[in-house]
Amino acid sequence: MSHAQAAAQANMTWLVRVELDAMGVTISESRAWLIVQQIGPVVQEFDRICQDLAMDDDMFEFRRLLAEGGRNA
Amino acid sequence: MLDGSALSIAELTSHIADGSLSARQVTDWCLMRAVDVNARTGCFIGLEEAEARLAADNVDNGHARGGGLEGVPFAYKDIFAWRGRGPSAGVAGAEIPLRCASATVLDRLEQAGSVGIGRLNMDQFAYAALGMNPDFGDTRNPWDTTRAAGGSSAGAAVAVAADSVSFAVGSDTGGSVRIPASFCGVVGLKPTFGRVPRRGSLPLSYSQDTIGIITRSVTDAARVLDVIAGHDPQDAASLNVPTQNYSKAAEDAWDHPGDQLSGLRIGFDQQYLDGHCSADVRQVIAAALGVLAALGSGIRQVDLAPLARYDVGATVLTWAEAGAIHRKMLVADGTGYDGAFQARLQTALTSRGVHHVDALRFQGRALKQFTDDLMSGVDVLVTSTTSSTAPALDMLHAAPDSEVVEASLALLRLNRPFNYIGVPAMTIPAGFDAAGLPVGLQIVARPWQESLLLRVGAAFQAGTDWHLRMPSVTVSPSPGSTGDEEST
Repeated sequence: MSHAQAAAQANMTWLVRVELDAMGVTISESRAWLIVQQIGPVVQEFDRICQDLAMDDDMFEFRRLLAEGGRNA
Repeated sequence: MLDGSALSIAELTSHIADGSLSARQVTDWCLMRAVDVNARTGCFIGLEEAEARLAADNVDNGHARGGGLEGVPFAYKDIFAWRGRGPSAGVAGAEIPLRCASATVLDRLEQAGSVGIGRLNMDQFAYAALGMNPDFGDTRNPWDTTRAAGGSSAGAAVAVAADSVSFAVGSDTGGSVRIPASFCGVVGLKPTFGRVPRRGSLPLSYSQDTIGIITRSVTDAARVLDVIAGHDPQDAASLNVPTQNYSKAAEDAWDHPGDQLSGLRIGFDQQYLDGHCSADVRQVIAAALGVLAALGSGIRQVDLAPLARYDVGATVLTWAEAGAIHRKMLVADGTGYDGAFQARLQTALTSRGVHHVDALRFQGRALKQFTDDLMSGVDVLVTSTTSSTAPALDMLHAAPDSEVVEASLALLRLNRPFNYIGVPAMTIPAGFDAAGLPVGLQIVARPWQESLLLRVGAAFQAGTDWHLRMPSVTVSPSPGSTGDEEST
């Protein structure tokens, strides 16, 4: 891990603790580090997946497609 | 006396209708059986003996005729409100306050004459997949009680597999009906999102939660779906799509399996299976494909690689929604939550609003890609339900948390993508591994095509006997007991 990556991880760990603390959930630094290890790769992959979304890909399209499928069933 | 619990739902209702069995006899037998099975597997959280006997007497007195499930015993994952009591969600002493006093699904089953005998063990708050509960204990697999039952509807699968009820209802947000059903050698059906009302059940992910059914046979699952499917205007996720005659579809396929499957196009991806499953599981799935082909189906190569992206979307969506659902209680009384569950929630609470919206936006894209591309040229998909058979409980308890999490994720990966896109999926018993543990075949269809799933499953069961094999824990006590055992 490069110095920059280590610094980014440390920043993320601090951020996770602050965010949870703001919600009233206190966690240790080691626990925050584990959360960062868990969510980091998933969020990165998810961001990559979402690159294909267009601005008019609507959050209600899923329900519309299901309803349309129901009419054609 | 006939052994009421071992009969199919069609046989049971027929015997009760002609008077050769009474609903009370069946209920007493099942209550007695439930005590015995629970002692060995821990599948029940509580029995409702008085209510069950009253419901059975109502059937015998002719007050509940014509509903389709008269006198049929069932049990339910303790995630539903019923008769004014909130669910425990697998937490000892808890009664989760819900606005709805009685779940639509349980009300429909009661109106159909079915007899609820008790509440079933589960992973706490339905947020895990192994059936390990710190308050009520592990739910043990009836095929080998040193093994996990799978979860989160762990008790539901065990109670059915071990022959203490005809069917059970549970919830499936990422495989929570199908995984335990597969591990326990029974049928687990997750209908299309919005097909079965989930009003009155504890949510985990509003955008993916689905009420499912566990039975021994596909024809039984169809009979239950006939009763619980259908629009509920009080349920925000329920869609007003006409239901079908599911039991007729399944029974026609059972009677004429070759007719039903002739020309059916089945999509299968060997590479996907190889990348996810153990050798034993792959061998069973290959044999199951052979059965379907022998019945006249054509097997076509498809590419299931995109399912990995749906799994990521499901992860992000579940984090956001589970975090929102549990945040207030975690903050108010975090100590009431098990440590592993608290850890999962802490992770969930780091979710960002933009990611939640993006997960909802990608959900529509994923469903369209699935129906237009993945399912192009095929009628159904088949794959394995789980990556391996049931793991040993001792091993899970001894393993570091990270390994237990990975074991759960491996199970969810094959199931959760189908929750994310809302399509119907069903697991059916397809064989056993070298250790004698069940392997489930997962069948997936386009939205609202539950009838097709049931036809394929029933035809498969007409040509095999995997669903007739019973686990060793089902050694029967002598019938005719009064069933006066205490509640668990």
